[in-house]
Amino acid sequence: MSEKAIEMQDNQEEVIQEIDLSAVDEICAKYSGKKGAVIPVLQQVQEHYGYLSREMIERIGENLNVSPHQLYGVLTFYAQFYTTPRGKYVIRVCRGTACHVKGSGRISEVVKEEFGIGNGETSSDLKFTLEEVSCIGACGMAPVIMINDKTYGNLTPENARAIFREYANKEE
Amino acid sequence: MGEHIIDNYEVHVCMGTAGVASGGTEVMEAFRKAFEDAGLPAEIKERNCKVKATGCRGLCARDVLVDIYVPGKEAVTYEHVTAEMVPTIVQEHVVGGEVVKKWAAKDDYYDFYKHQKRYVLKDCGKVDPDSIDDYIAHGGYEAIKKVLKEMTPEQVIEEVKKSGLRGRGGGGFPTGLKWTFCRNSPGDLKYLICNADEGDPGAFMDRSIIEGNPHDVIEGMLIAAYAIGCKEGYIYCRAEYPLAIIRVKKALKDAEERGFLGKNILGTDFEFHLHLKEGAGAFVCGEETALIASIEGERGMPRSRPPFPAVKGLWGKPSNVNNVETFANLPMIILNGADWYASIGTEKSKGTKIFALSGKVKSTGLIEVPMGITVRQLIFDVGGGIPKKRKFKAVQLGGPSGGCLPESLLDTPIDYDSLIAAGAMMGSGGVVVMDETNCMVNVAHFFLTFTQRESCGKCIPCRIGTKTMLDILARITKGQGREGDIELLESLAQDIKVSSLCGLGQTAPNPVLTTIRYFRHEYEAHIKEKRCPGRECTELVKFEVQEDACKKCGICFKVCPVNAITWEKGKVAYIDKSKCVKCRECIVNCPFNAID
Amino acid sequence: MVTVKIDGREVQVEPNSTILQAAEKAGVHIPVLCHHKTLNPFGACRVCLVEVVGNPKLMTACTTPVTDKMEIVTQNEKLQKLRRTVIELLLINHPLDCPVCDKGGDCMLQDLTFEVGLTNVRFDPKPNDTPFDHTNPFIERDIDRCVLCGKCVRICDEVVNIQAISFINRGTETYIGTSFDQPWNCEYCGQCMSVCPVGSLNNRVYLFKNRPWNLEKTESVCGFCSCGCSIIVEHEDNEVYKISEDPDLGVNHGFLCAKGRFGYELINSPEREKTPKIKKSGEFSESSIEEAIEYVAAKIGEIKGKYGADSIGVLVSPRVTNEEAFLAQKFAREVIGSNNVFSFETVNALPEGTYEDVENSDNLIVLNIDVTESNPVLGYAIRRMGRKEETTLSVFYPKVTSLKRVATNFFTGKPSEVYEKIENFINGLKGDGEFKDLADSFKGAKKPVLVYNPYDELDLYYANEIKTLVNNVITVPCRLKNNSQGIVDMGCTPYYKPGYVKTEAQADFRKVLEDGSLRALVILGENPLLHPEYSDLGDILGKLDFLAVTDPFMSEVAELSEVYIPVSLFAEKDGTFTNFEGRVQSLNKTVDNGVISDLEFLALLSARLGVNLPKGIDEVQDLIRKEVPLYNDVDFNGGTVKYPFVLDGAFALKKVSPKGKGKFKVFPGSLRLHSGSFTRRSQDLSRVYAEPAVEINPTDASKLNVGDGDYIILKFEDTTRKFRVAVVKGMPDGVVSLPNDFKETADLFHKGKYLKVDLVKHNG
Repeated sequence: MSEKAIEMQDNQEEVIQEIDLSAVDEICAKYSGKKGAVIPVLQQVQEHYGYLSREMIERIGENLNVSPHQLYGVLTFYAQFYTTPRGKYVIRVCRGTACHVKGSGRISEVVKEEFGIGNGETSSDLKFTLEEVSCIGACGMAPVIMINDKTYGNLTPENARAIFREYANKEE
Repeated sequence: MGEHIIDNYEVHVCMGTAGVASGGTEVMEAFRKAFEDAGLPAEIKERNCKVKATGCRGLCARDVLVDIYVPGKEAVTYEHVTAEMVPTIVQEHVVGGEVVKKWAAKDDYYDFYKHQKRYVLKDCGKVDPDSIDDYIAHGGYEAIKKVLKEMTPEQVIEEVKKSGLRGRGGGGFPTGLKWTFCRNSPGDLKYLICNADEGDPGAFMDRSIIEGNPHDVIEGMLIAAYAIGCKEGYIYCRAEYPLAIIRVKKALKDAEERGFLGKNILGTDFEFHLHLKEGAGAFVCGEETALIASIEGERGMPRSRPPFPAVKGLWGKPSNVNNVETFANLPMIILNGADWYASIGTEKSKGTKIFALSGKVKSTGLIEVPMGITVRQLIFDVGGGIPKKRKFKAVQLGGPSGGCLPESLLDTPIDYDSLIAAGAMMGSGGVVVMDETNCMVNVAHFFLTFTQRESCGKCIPCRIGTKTMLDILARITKGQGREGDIELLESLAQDIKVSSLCGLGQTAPNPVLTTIRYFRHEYEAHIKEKRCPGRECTELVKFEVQEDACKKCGICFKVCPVNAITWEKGKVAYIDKSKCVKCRECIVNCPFNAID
Repeated sequence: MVTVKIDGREVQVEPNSTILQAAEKAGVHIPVLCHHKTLNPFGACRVCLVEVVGNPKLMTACTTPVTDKMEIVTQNEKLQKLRRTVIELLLINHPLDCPVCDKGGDCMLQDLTFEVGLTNVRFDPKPNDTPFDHTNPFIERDIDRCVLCGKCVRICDEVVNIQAISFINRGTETYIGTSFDQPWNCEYCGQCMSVCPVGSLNNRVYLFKNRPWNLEKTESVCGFCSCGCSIIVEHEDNEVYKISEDPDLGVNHGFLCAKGRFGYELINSPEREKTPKIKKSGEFSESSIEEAIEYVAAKIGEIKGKYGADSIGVLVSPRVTNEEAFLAQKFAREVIGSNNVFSFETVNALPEGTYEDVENSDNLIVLNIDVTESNPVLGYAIRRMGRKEETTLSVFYPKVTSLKRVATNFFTGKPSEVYEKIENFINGLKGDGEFKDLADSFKGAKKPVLVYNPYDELDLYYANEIKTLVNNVITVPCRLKNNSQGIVDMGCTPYYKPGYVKTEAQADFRKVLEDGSLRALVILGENPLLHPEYSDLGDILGKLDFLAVTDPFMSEVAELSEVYIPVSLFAEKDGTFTNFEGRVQSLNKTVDNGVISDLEFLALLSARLGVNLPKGIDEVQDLIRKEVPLYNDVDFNGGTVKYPFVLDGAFALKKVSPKGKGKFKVFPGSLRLHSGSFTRRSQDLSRVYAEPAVEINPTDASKLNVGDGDYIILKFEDTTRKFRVAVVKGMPDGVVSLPNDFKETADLFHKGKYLKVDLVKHNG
């Protein structure tokens, strides 16, 4: 993990304290008494807060009568869940077969050069998160990235860099 | 294409994942504006382009694809459309009546379809996936009507058995037989699960089916549920497929409202409740017991079999898991009969199979072909062969768990058993073509990296064994391979294959074993000569222009992203190693393999 | 039965047996690593792969059920190679630090390495290097040595049902850990450690004290609570080094609790007294056993001569064995000639249900007791029951307990509100009210079970009501100490002679002390000063004409005695205990600390007083069989006593009225680690729970501006006392709990079971 990312994690400790967890209760209430609620609840809580904190996990556990340790075991198993806040823009670099063959590794490097973040890390200004993903099913235009829901294909390090800078310069 | 002739101007813009990514939104907007400027009334439709019998839809490499319908004329398809091209197309073609030949699809576009047989994908793209009425208008839900009206569950199973349908998820287990096990398990509550956790890199046929024709899958599940005796069902869909999830949600709601799901389906006492479960990002959940664990809200770790899910599956109840493509085959088997279905394909592998063709092949995309066509036909007839006049080297069949076949096996027929015999497998249906600029050790390393990263970690051979193999492969690609490494890999790979808990570990060594089997000399070159014949292992590549091979064309000079290459017309190019970042652009672009 | 052939040996087994079970029956050894017989099949390690003739795939013996005529090959070169590869792979990352690993010599990985003939690893070693984790007070964790067999996670989940640890991450990143890598806090039962095949989870109490091959193992019974767990005492040279378990033994299937597993160091405690003491002019001086016995005999003879037999009494602790209890009442009734044999045990409720009844119940009610704390291993059985599909577990208790996760219904509130709910439930049984549905399901259950606290009058009243209203209910009174049941069976009560034969003269312990009719008292191990009901009697006890106390330690009451005789603990004597089920089980003497047992004390004293009581354990047991009809055909190694009644007494509905005037309601809490008296002599248990703490919920704690571990001032009537704070979730607002059997608390609860107190932050 880069120094920036570590520093940011430290800051999060304080942020977490003030989060209102009532949405956790509301989400859990929808699944009260239902089997197999764990993953949908984790998904929805993450969708609401952007990530899953220790407090959220404990609250979910109390609601669903599941141990927080088990919940943590589940959430760390799946790639979809995050335990730290994520950037405003999530850059997903496809590392599937076709993209790999066409140099997607270089695209990740450009992200690192631009924002100082490696795979799974978030920039200290909480603007960008880099995520290397397996195939996103757009092999025809490899190498491909997604920034949030927008897909960019046929990338070269140069045009990728231009795209990243465009996002970096976007007004809040 | 001339499928139908219409009265109004219509423009259909591919707006699937690839279409949007290639600028589909801008293209649509441009058309809207151009028609407005020209004062013509037109309908600009956004269509999910994934797969369509008459459109590209499968040929995403050529997005944005646009079909133009002019009243009284045949529809014309344009490839690689950008917003800049739109005014010209509207002016020349729509207003002027002259097709813009240079941009319109050529023969190779149509060749892509000529060798295919589209049954499962037939209605994908034709029907509006968000409209149950459209599905019904295309003959949808007729099969389940027939089943409920005319057939007993046993007859349905018998029909499916007779059809010869085998599971499309990779294993190729006879579907009808699998159903029998679950049907015969005691218990009132049984579950039917649709595995839509398509995770193989490069394969997206299940997504295409679900996004393009979700009701087809629901109808297939209804048929299975009736035959097996399931009251509850789940579609376990990969969370990375947001569009598919939206489509399924809508389809489930509509089907329920129309009485195709729920209690008393079509007025009978058949009852089936179907739910959507979103996956959470774990490739191993494609394995059926891991998928079940995941639905239960646990870590997606596979469980030992027996007991098989048919006996003790979801929440301990008898369960049957089939894949999307398998379900999508069912309505047509019921409607057209087992005999018709069994007439397609080979003796032991019936019907068609959808493949995702990618890598070093001219037409990449999604294709549906009858079982039994040869690998050669798949790559050269359907895929159009290898681009840049390069030589074919190998093809990885069956996704990362599949095997890598050499040129000598190009005439292997594509069916479950022949592929297994050759060391590959049907797997997910992923087909990755490699040319002479690919290194087979690196390819093995790449695929194993994927499976190793997706190992759940439960069993020792897969967790530590694949990691150990990967470490050995890595040292070989770095030129640190040792005498005996090949034998060590082979020995370990064999042990992992037979001792791993689930299919992931049991197949993970396949790319390594097949590349050693068919390309042992490449491994030896790395270990003994510290040389990478495919020039992919950058630590073993010198990045020097071979003067005798260089034809002084200057392509390398043009593609070098860091200006490390000097070249003048008529002179051999020169690579300045102090500037070179080893990106391999020169190697993959040099038409003469002159850089080593 | 089906017939299978394993390595050529034919064997008949039950149809659902696994290949492994069949092999065991056939006497064929199949190596295993991740398998444990009490856990669900897992099939992760692949060490037990075998060939099934006709099946191209290798099968794991631990998970695969046999079928008729199945033919199995467990040993051949191919299988041996696979097993070797698996072990070889484990050794890549496993630190080969066996010389400094406490598990050395008792390690499955070492044994398997040897068994599969692995002598050389073909792969580059990459030993893990993570620091030890010492956040758990009893268990040292070294994740580097972990082989991810998952037995710890699975036993914590399937057996203990606490899920305090989990697999974290995926693939090669997987490790066993806690949510967000928090310190490892749990119930400290150590089940995880007991199944760890390698040196990843080590016993910190035992750590580096001995080597496994030096230790002799003796089966015995735990001497802490009334669960009656079978234990293995591991000892060498008169020192107990470790308490371990055997899944094949006893009622507990090898499961223990923190006290039972880690509390044993009190046996070796430096606070143990070895020499009898006689107090002369206010000062104790050491004496010999003979001298002390002589002294006691003389005093008793003298007082009996002066005031008659009824001026002398015996108070018996539930820590003593049945044999000791039997002799104690014999001593009182026959040697002294008085019915004054007392204990603090209830005589109104007798055992009915067993562990099996609890586990197989389809509808169980836990009535106002924190059973997982008071009787942890019974608690596991209840949690397993609650975990099962289609069972109903309902709990009535002021605060949320660790049964919450498996309970169907959990009714909490102020103690008075809990009683209201219980009352409503009983109304439900009678046919109406808000609890009618639950009451109906309880009534309609196949095997309804009621778990309750037999020491509380109101609880007894409700238990009796339920017993009357639901004819098939099986009651489980949760007695507290290791032989709480046995001493009553043996007649250590003025109300009954052994075997529940009613007596005529029925003295009351408090009354005879207060009215001065009792002049001399011999206390066997009991400590009235820590008992809320009798904690006020210190002055009277101190002023008796004569007080003799036997105890392994110099207890608070022993300090008041004229003669103190140190006696042996459960590991140091033979005899039997009767657990809460009424199950009689034998303990075995494993070490000798040079002190006599209560049995020897009683025999020596009686002899000196002119009556020869038997002193050999076999003789005493023969006499018990003869004189206690209840025990005459009971197997002393696990047999269950058939009792003459379940509930008997004049149970009255007395509403709860808390004493005092403060804002916070206090109810007595139960503690897993302590029962206030001699477990405090275990430094290991005391390290975790050093002093009684006020449990309070986070909201109240923050209102009082106190946090976990801070001190708080509790004001009750005229008493002001400082306690540590434990912040717990699930405690109702305005309610706190405090254990009632500590020297710091017994006198508070003497005023009432429920108190109203004021709490303020302690500054400084």
